[in-house]
Amino acid sequence: MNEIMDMFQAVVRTPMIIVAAFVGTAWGIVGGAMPGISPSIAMALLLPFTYGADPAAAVVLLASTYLGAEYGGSIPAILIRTPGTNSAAATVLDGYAMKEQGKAGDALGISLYSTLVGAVFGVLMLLTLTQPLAQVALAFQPQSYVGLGVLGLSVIASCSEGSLVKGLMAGVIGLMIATVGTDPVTGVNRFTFDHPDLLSGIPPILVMVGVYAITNLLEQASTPAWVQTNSNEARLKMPGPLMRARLRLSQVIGCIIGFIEGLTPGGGGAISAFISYNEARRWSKNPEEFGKGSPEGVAAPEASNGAVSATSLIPMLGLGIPGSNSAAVLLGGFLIHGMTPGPLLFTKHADIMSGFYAGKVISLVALLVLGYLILRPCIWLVNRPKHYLMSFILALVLSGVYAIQGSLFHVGIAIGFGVLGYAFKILAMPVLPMILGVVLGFMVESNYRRALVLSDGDHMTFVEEPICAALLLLAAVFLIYSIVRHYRDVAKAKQIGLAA
Amino acid sequence: MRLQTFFRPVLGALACLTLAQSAHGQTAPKYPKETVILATHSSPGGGSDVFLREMAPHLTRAMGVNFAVENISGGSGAKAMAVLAKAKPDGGMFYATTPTFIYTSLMSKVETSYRDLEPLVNVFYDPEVVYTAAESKFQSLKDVIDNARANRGKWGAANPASLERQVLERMKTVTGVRAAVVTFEGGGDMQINVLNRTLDIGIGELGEIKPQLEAGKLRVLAIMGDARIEQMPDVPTAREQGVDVSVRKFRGLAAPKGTPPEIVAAWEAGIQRVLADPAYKKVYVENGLQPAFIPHKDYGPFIAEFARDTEAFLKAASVIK
Amino acid sequence: MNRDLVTALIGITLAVGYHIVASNIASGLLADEVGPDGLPRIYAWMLGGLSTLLGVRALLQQRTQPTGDEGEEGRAAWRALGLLLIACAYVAAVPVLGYTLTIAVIIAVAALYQGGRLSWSLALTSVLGAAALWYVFVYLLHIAQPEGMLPDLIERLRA
Repeated sequence: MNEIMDMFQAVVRTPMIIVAAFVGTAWGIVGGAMPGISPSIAMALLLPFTYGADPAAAVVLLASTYLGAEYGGSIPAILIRTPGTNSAAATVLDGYAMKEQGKAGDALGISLYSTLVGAVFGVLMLLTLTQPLAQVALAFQPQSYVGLGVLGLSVIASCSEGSLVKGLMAGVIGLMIATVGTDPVTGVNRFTFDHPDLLSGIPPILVMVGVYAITNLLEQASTPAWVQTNSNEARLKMPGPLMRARLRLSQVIGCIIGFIEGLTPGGGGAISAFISYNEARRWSKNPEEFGKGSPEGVAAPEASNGAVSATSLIPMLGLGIPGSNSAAVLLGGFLIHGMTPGPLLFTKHADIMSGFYAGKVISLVALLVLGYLILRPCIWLVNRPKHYLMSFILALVLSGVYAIQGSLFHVGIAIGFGVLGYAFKILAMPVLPMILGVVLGFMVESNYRRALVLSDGDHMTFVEEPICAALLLLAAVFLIYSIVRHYRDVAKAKQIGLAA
Repeated sequence: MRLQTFFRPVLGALACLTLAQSAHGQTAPKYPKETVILATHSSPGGGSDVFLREMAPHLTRAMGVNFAVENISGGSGAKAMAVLAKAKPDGGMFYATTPTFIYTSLMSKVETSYRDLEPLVNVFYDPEVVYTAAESKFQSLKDVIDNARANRGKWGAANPASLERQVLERMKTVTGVRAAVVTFEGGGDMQINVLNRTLDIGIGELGEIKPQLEAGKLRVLAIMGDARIEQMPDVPTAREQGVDVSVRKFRGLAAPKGTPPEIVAAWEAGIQRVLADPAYKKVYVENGLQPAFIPHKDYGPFIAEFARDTEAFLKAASVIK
Repeated sequence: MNRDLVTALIGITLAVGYHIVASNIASGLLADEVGPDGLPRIYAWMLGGLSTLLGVRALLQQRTQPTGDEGEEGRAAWRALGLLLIACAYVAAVPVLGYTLTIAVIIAVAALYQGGRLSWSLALTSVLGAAALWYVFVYLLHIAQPEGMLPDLIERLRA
């Protein structure tokens, strides 16, 4: 109770916190909705403005931006098949399928509702358990990350519709893309062909924007303009009681996975969104709907994103160690105002932290209000005549990709991935395994080699470390399960074919 | 929604404050520019960005000029170097130097390298320290080396081909021990592995480990510089402990080539004045920085020597050809 | 030719090319046992193996699956190529013409290509669209989009 009083008093003392929560959330939604502007970029752009501001309001502003951006990324993912942020890439799968069926309003409502559920859960964890949970981050060693990555890659086996071999090929191509850049152990440049823009690798968002957004544009261009797509009702629909009941399981899955990923530095929102998506499918009553416009397929990754936006702050606040780029920017925001996050933060700056927590709670309200307000104009925009819509998406993507590092070379890479995605379509290769390879490749490789340096080349280290062993076991079980199911389905399909 | 509008009153107030303070009691000759851009490749909140932004208001008092910090990210500094090399040498734009700009120049075929810039003056050393978990058995650098000799040490550096890695590799060479040097993607990642005792020691900047140090979770074993530092006078340097390794992570400024001598002189005076300013001193000591003014005539050779050392290390390790 | 067979051939080519570049990665004193080229080589072999498997399977199942209307697919690909060229034209033109102008032209050209008619509303949409994008990216988000050579040129003409 005392804490709640403290938070209330902090708001009374600094009403600016409320303004900061709303401004930050709004800014985050806009920034996140722009492909290429990641949550961390949106936050970093605000950082200079926080220099003169009240410390509590400043950190609230940044943290609200993070939440807003995590949500904002899903808007273009659903409406125009363009993930606004890395972690919105999983939302594209079913969100855009729903939009194609004329259910954009429902999809957006589900995404807003699920992000809120995840964020409320995450903020609760943040408010109550920051200190003990920060210790969880310490339990993760390089081996553990290998286990986590392999678990993520095991998803490939179950998301290769049609041909398992082609799915694995796409996955390997993804892993290959992830090897571009500076080698994690020796620092040698690999596959960079001496180009400075390739030194830090190919940003996953380029691949995602390429194979989702640009490929979609190319496909749309190849269907004649007179083919009318479903128009979408210009209204946002929040899910009703029946739908809420249906979404519950997938949201719980999203929350739990997002929570764990948030705590482990280096995991990242995109990985947890994809794992949540896949687990939601595994546990769903209607797994066959996934990929064809399942509401649960939107709910799971969005709940995970909401949870990550709060729980990834836990290691930063509790240990002073930022686990993601966004957390690093927020850390900068604390440092600017003379506060050093870490074990002593809560004792040294108790009043500011009350204000910060109060701001986190207010930003949840802000997300609900602003999320609701912004969707109407967004839906209006996507209902414009097709040739305008397509040309505008093209312009948006070209502008947004440039914004990542101010590099036209990157724009070229994204266009290249658009062509690759188109080729995948023609060759009937699944694209999702490639995305997983790109997202997970670097984490798996760097930690695999790091663990071997530590163990002097002994592979037993992966079995001896308990977290890694457990995750590997889980991955093996999933893998066998999906391969058996795959071949059973193939056999069944053959039987039906013969009978017919 | 419009952030600029939202914070403009605050910024305005701040600007008035700094201008008012700079108005009285300065004898510095008139600087040819009213506003000077300080560019960095680091993104907002990164090391060089914080360095510039914290110095700017104090520097305004010392030099009577307004400063704007500009982040030119991309290509690990390649882009910022290119922009600066093309800027007019009229004292309107400078670039924050760190070892990164030399590493980037050496490791990739950049169009514009550190050789195309004119090192202006140095401001700080960012002391590199070797640290361990508070509950580990290591009490000195000697313990670490002895352990590595007997068993096999596990040492951590933040990035693969970096200054920190270079220090650890040199430590291995001078002591002749066999230790695994593990690299990470940034200091935070590595700190976790020191805290959970996967690693024996880690090396990093003092500022990075401050929270854990204050909380008593980490212990500094050695300063990897030429002398002890003000913030922790009890901790000996590596050389004092018989390990002949020393490194100077510098933070200074570079200018476009052909910057006129009077501007150089204005900066030499300004930086010395700002380093002596008690208000600023409080800030930089708090951040673990060590004042290290190097005048223009010595800074060029300093950077050249640093680059030679780095190149030799990278070549010997066949990171570059 | 069978679609899977084409995929397999492309996959094998990619694997071989990737392996050649991977074998040229220098691994020096700082290298670990796996080395910077370790996993890339494994990836190349994996892709090669999978592609071969796919190819062999495609050859064995020579009973050709019913393929789609090849002519229709070909026409579709040509239309997609047009849009691709527009995107590439943007990359080529923007350093010269500058962001705002180029993006306005791209909106107009792409809309025309998608079946829009040359009209005042098209012109207005492209100008307003470019202005909106400029407002969000350049003004609000402070992204330094390319300025182009025009401002420079005007300044030079003035001098």
